[in-house]
Amino acid sequence: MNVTYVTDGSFEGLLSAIHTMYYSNDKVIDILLNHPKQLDFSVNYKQIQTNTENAHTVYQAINQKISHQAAYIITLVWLSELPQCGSMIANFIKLGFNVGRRIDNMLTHKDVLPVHKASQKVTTEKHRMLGLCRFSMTERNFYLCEISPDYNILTLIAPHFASRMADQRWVIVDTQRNLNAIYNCEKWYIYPSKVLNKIPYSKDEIQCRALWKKYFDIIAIKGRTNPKLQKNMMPVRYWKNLTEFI
Amino acid sequence: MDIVEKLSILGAAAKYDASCSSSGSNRNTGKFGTASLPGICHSWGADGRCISLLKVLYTNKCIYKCAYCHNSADNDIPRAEFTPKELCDLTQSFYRRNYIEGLFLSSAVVRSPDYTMERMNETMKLLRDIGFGGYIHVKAIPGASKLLLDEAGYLADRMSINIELPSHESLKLLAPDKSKNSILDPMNHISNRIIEYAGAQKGSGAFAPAGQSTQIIIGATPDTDKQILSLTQGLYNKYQLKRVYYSAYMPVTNHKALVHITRPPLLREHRLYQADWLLRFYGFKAEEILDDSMPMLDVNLDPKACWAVRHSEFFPVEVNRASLEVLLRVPGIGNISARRIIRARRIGRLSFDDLKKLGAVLKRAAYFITCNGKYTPHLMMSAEGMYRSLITLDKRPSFNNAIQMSVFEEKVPKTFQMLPTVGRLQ
Repeated sequence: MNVTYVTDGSFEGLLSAIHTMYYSNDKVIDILLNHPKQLDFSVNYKQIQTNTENAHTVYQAINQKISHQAAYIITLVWLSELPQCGSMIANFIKLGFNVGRRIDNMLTHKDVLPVHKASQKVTTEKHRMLGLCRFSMTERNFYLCEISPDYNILTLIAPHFASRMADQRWVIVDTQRNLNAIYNCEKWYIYPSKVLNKIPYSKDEIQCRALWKKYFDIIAIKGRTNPKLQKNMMPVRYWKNLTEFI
Repeated sequence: MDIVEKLSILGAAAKYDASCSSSGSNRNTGKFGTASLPGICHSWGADGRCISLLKVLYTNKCIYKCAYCHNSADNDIPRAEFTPKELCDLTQSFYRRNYIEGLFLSSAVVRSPDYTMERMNETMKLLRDIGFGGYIHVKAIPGASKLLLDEAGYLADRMSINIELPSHESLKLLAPDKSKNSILDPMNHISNRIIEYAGAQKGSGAFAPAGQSTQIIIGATPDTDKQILSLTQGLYNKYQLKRVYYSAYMPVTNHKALVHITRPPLLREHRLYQADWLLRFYGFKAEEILDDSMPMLDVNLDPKACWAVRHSEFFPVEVNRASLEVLLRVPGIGNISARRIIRARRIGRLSFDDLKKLGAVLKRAAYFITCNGKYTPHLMMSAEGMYRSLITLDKRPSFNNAIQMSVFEEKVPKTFQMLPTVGRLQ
């Protein structure tokens, strides 16, 4: 029977749906991550109960029966938060259970190509963000950084800054998703955040920003001005959080 | 003089150094600062060049009179000098805000080469003493003692000495205070040290773990691309350099021995970088790219396509069977797509459509490949026709600052005329 699964929107929910799909005769057309706002008469919906144990089983099976690379790629695709990522991942895993680790080389397959493309986009943005995060010293003696990335990459970049800025307390705020990564000089955590009141910057901060802006302006060679190249490398949508443009 | 003013003078004086890479080192002190192996760019300036390191001169006070250089002792410009402490604090405060990946420390020669190198080493030492594990690129000052160069090597991730002028004659004319040996000697010394330490056991410390690089100015002297490229190849082979940078000459002084130009030769610089990539990542030799019949790179067409059009005996290449080295020679197939092709064809035969999915640029590659024995009409073009159609794909609007080319003036160079059609399929 043709059905469309509806999950609770969590990663465990998606893996539970895949578990159900594997052990039933359902012909799954699509996996929705949220309850649809408008129901379609011609579609059979099936609500999937999230079961952590089943989700864990599926995740382990991916690692053992497919490959570690496949498991990693799936988490990246999940973080892309693309609307179709549920069915993309499900189709990929279904194929993976059939062909095993050969899937890593099936780059042109219709169920593999979009997964690789999506994971690549997430990796690219992650790497970009390692450079484009800008921290500011606040009055309360911690560094604050605001980002608004396209994909949910906070968990991917936090470990990098935890080892790089190991001796300073910092908070990275994803203003799109209202998530915080908080580091207390020992460990980092992810918390959902409420909108914080603006914390004033420290005195040093203002001088340091002025210095950086000055440097940013003088380092460009006038005879080589090339705004198109600049925007290509550093898309304008990121500029609102960059000290050099504020 | 306050720090803002110093930064304006000494930052601006350092901007003509092309090198900005922060890759090749993997350092983690566990305190403050790490070096990331692939390198990280943090911003891009108005000229589109990436800003990865805080690129400054220690001082622009100079005892030398090099004709091409802005800092020449003859020039009447404002001079400044950092103190090691100031520079250390500045680097730290930028780094903690994630503005930069580390420090790029260069300098004019103040008082003596040894004195300058000492002050630079002191700056680096201050940084490393507070536990700084970020990237440091330091210029070796030609003429400084070997002991000081060694000290710099233990503190820095990468070292470089700029050759600046591609031939001995140009050097004698424009930089009378420098000689070929004063540049190549320290380069050789650093290279030997790096090899020595690379073989040593872990924990015994590293010597410039990200290697050595250099820079050559393009277009200030009449040297040809062929000379520049074979010099580059020599440097990679003899001194194991990690990178050779090219810098399109910007007229900063009015010396009579210099070539007079109004715009920097950006397109020529771009083509040289393309050729440099062919040397480092595509298994080409300098002699293959340019020879006496063709001493300059073609401005209209990239060097890899140029080579392919001139070597009909090599093509067509069957993508389902060719080795990695052969695939890399096909225009439109790069390192990433070549590796993907090899992975994907383990599963099954590839079609033209599959190639597209793997990221190959088919509109270029179509002139040079067969796919399961199938081919497109492009393959049967004459070399001249191929050249004409490939240059239309290669128009680069981003170089509007460079020499403008008109479609009507373009002539097919002699070397491309009268070449046989791509072999075996006529």
